[in-house]
Amino acid sequence: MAGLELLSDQGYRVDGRRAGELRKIQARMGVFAQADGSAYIEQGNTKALAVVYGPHEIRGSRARALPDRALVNCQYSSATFSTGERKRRPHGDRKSCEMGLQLRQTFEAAILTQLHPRSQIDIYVQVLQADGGTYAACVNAATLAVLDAGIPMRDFVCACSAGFVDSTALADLSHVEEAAGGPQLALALLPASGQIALLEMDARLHEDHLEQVLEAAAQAARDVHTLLDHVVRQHVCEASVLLGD
Amino acid sequence: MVPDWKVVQDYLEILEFPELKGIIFMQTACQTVQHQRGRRQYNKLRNLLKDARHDCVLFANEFQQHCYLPRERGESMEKWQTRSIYNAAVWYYHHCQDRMPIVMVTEDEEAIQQYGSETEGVFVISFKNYLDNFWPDLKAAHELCDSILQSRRERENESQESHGKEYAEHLPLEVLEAGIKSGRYIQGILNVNKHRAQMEAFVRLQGASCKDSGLVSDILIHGMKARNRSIHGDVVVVELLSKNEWKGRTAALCENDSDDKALGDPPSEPMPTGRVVGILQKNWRDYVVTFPSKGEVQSQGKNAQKILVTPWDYRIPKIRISTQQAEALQDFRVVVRIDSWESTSVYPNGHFVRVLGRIGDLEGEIATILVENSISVVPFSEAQMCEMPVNTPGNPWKVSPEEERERKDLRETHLVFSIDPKGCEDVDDTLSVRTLANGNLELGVHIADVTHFVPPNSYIDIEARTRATTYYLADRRYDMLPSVLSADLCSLLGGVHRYAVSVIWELDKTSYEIKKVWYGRTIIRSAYKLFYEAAQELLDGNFHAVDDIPEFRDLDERSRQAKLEELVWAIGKLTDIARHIRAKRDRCGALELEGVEIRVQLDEKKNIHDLIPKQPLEVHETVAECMILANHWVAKKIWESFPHQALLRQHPPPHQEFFSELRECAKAKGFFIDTRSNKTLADSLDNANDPNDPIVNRLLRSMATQAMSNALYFSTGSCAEEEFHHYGLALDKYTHFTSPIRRYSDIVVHRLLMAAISKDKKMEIKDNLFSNKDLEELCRHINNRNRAAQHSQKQSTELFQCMYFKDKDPENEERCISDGVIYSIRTNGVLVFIPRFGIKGAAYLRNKDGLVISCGSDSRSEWKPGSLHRFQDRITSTTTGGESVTFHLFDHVTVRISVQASRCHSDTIRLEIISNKPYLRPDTELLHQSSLLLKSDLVKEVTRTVEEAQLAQEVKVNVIQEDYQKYCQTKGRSLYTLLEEIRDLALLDVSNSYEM
Repeated sequence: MAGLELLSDQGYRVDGRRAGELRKIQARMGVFAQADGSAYIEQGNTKALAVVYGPHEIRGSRARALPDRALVNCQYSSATFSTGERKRRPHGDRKSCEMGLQLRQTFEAAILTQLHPRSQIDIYVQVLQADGGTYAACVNAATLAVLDAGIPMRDFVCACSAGFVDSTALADLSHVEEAAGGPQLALALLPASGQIALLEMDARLHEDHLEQVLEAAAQAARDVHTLLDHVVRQHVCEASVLLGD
Repeated sequence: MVPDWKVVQDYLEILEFPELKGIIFMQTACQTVQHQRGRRQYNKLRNLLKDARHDCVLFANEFQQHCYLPRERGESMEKWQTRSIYNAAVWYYHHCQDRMPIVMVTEDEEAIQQYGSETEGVFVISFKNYLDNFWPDLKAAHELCDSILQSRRERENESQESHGKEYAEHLPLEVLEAGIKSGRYIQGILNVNKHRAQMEAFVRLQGASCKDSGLVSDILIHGMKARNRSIHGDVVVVELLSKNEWKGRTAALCENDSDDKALGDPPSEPMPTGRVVGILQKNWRDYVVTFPSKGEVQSQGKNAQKILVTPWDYRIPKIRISTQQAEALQDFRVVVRIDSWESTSVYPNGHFVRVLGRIGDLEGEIATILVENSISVVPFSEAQMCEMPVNTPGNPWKVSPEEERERKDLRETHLVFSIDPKGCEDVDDTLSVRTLANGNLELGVHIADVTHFVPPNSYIDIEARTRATTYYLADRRYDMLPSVLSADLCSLLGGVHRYAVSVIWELDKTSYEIKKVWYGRTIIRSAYKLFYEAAQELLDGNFHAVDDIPEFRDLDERSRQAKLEELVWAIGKLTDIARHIRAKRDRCGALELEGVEIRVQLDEKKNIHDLIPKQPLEVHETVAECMILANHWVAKKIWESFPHQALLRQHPPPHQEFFSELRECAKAKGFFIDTRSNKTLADSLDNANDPNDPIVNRLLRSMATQAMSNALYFSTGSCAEEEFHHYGLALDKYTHFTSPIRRYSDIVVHRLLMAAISKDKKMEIKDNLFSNKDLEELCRHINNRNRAAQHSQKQSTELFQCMYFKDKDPENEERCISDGVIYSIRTNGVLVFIPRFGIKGAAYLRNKDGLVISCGSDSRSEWKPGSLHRFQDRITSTTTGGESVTFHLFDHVTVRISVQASRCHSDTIRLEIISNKPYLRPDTELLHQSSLLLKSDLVKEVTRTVEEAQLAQEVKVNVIQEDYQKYCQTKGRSLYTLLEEIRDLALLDVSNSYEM
C-alpha cells in the first residue's frame, strides 16, 4: 500500500478539510451543578470535560499558599477508553503530569491571580476521547469552565495545534496527521491582545518555516475564539432567560 | 467521461492517451488505485491529472455534501465504490443543468444493468463499449485494450496453476524497512552490467546505508537467482552474503551473447556479494523489443501464444508476452511494457503497446533510441502553437509600446553583436561593450528573453518542461521550443528588434574591477551576427574577412571603415576584459582543466568539437568567459534573493580513487598526474604532453574527464552552501542562464531573476515560483533528461558508425583499416581508441577458439595457440612456438573495423588488430586534416544511402518521379545545412564529454 497522502494535490487533507480549516467545534458550559464551573467541548472526535473549583482556601499544606496571588492547580487525566488502544493510565504518570503543568502555565498567564491572594483555583480536565489536539481541547474546555466559574481572566485562552506537511501549514491536526510524525506545534493564545500564553513544539522544524506554522496556528486559535465567544454568549442568554430577567 | 475505479486501475494506460480528454476522476477511484495498486500507478495517475494537456480533473466526491454516500450495512466495498462514483456522476449531470451528457465507464456488469437507464443523460457502459462507440478510429487504444485484457486473463490462469517457484519471495515492506534501519539490509540502485547481463549486476549504495555499513565499493549481485526479479534501475534491498561466498568481478572482455563458462579466467579479488531480498521501487518503463524470428518461434514450442521477446537493452531480461500477432510483428521493433513478475516464472510478463518501425531501418532505429531513453518528441500541438506570437511577412511581429516603456532601450545607445558558429539559427546570446562618460567601461551580456513568450504553466511551457532540453542526434535535432520562437522571435538575429534579458557590468577603466552590476529586461538590436572565424580574423587585424560579413556589404567605403573600426575596437576590448577576468579567476586558485572546459563550452554552443588537438580560437574563449561571468553573477543574484528556491548548478569534486587508472596510465608514459586539487590536476595534465604523439594528452584528458562526476542542477534549499561549489570552473556559485532557447533550466533561472528584480523593486512577484520541493523534483527531471539526451546522442552516433561500416567490405575497403591507440589493458584483450573516427572499442588478443594473437616479422597478425600474460601496463601474447608479441599502453596498432550485426540489439563495431605497427596511410599529410570532415561525411553518406533506398522504393510505387526527385533534393539540401550545423556532434564520444 502506498503511504498515506496527508495533503492531496488538490489541497485536501485526509478527512476532507483544507489546510487551514478547523474541525467542527461544539461546546457546552455549566454541565455539572456541584462544581463552580464546568464545560464540555468536542473538537471533531476529540472530547474533553473540564471542571473548576475555586477560588477557595488552600487545601492541604498551607505552606503552599502564595502571599500575592492565587495558586492554580491543574490536573489532567484521560479515560482508559479515550484512545484506540485501551490502556489504564494511573494518576500521576509522566504524560498527565506534563500536561497538567502546561495547563497550569497557560492559565497562570490568563487568570488574574493577584485578585485572590492566598487562595487556590483547581482545574480538572478529563479527556474522554483523544483524536489529536488533546492539549488544545483541554485548554479550550478549561477556558469555558473558568469563565463559567466566574473567575476573572485577562482574556479567553484559545489553543490550537498546527503541523507542517509538504511545505504547507495544517491547522488543528487529527490523530492520523499527528501519527504521521511530522513537526507539530501547540499554541495557546490570548486572542484580543495577540499574546502567546504557551507555545510548545518538540520536533525539528526549519526556522524559516516556523513563522508560517505559527501564523496558521494563531489564525486557527482566533477562529476558535470566535466560536467559543459564541458559545459563551449563548450560555449567558440561556442563563438569563432561566433567571427570568 | 467518468471512469469507475476498476477501469482506472486496469486501463490507466489507455486513459493516458492524449486523444482522450475531459475525464473526471472521482476521488473514490483514485483512492482505490492508491491503496490497491501502490505508489507507482498512483503517481502515474497524479501526473496525468497534473498534465494540463489532458484536461482531466479530480473531483473530491467523498468530501462533497451531495455526493457522499455512507456505506450501507452488508454492502461490499466494491459495490459501495461503484455506487458512490455513479452518484457523483449523476450529481454532476444535474449540476451542469442536465445539458451535458455524462458517460460512466465501468467493468461491473451488474452496475451497467442497474444504473444503465436510471438517469437520463448519464450513460453507464463498459469500457470496451466506450472505445467502440466513441473512439472507433483510435486503433492503438483498441490494440492496447486487447493486449491488456489478454495478459490479465493469462495472469488469472497462471495464478491458479502456480507451480514450482523460480525465485524467493520478496520480503514485506515493513521487514525491509526495519532491516535497513538496523543495518541488516542495504538499500541501493541496481545496475546491471551491460556486457554480462545474465550474471553480473551491481548495487550502488544510496545515502545513509553507505556510511553505516562501511562499504566503499558497490555490491555484486551474481546470477539471476540472487537478483531475484529486480530489473536494471530498480531500488532494491540487498542482504550481504557471508564472506566465503563473495565473488570477484570479471575483468576480461567478452561479447554480450557469449557463454560465461567459456571464460576460464580466474576472477579478480572477491568483492562484497549479496542477494536481493526485496524491491522498494520498481523502475519499469517502456522497453523496445524484438520478436524472435520464425525458426526460433517453433523451437519455443508448445505455447505459441506466449512469446519470449528480447529487449533491445541488454540489461533487461527477456519478456514474456502473449499475442497473436507475433508473426506479423517479426521484422519490427516493438514497444512493450512489463506487467508483473511472479515468483513462479523465470521471465516477467508484459504486454504489447505499439510498433516503432522495421529492424535496420534508420527511422525505426532512431525511434528505438528515443523510446529507450524515454524521449517523446511529438510535433507541437495546435493548442501549443496557438499560444505562439505570429510573425509572417504579411503580419510581422512588432515591439509593443507597453514593452517599450517598461524595458530599457539599448537599440540606439549600444553596439550589440553576436558571435556564433557559422549557420547558427538560434542565437541566444549577444555581447556589447562601450566606454561610459566617466571613462569606465560597460560590458553587457544580452540573452534572448524567452520567458516573455513562454508564460509559466502555459501549454508551451509544460511541453518545454517535459522536454527539458533540445535533443541533438547525429543527423537531426528535436527542439525544445517551436521554431517560430527558437529560430525567429527569440533568436537575437542581426538587424532586428528583439527583447532581451541583460546583465550589464560597469568595470573600472584600468583594473577592470567590477563596480556595479545591473540586471533587467531590455530591447536590443544586434548590429552584427558574426561567426567565430571572422571575429578571430578581425581580432588578428586581418580585414579581408570583412567581405564575409553581410552587414558590411552594402555600405560605402567611408562609413564602412568607421563601423569596422568601432567593431574591431569592441572585439579587442572584449577580449582584453575576458583575459583579465580569467586571470583573476586563475589567481583565486581557479580555473583549471582548461582543455576540457573549453571543449565543453564549445559543445554547448554547438561549436566545432575538435578531435584534433589544435588551439581553439581566442574568440571562443572570450565568448565563453563572458557567458561564465554572466552565469556566475546571475547565480549569485538569484541565490541572494531566494536562498531556498534558486536553481544552481554544482559540480562535486571527484573521488580520488577514480583517478587511479589515470595515474597508472600516465605512469606508463612517464608522466606524473597530481590529482589532489583541480589546480594541480590541470597543471600536471598540461605537462603530460608527448611531443611525438599528441593523442596521448587527449586520451589522458578524456580519462580525467571520465573520472569526474557530472555537473548537476540542484535547488539551493536541498543542500548545504558548501556543496554549491563548481569544481571544474572553480566558482562558488554557478548556474545556466545563457541558453534559454535550448535548456529549460535557463528558463527557470530567467524567471527567478525576473522575480528577484521585482523583489528588489518591492513589487509583487507575478510568477508563482517553484517551492524548494518542486524545484528539486524539476532539477531531477532536467538532469535525467540531460542524461537521456547525452545517451541518445551517443547511441545515434554509434548507429551511424555502424551503418557507415555496414556496407563496406572489411577485407578490401581501405577505409575500414585504421590506426588505433591502446588505452587500457584487460586480461584477454585491449581497449583501442581510433582517432580518425573517434571510435573506442575492444580488441581481443584471444579469440573464441582460445587462440592468441601473434605477429610475424612483417608484423601481420595471425591466430595461433598460446597464452596471454597481463601486466600493469602491457600485455604479452606468447605462442606455443615461442614467438611473443607485447602490447604497451599507448602503442599504436593497425585495426580493422567491421560491424557485428545483431537482430535484437543495436549493431556493434568490432575491432580486430591486424598489425602491431602503426598504420601508415598513403597520404600522410592528410592525417592532419580535420577528422570532422570525415565524421560529417560519414553521417551524410549514411543519410544519403537511406534516402536513395527510400527513393528507389518510391519509384517502385510509381509515383510521379520528378516530383519526388525534387522533393528529395530539397530534403537533401536542408539536411546538408542541418549537418553543417551539427557536424561537431557527429562522432564525439559523448560519455566523456561532460557538460559544465
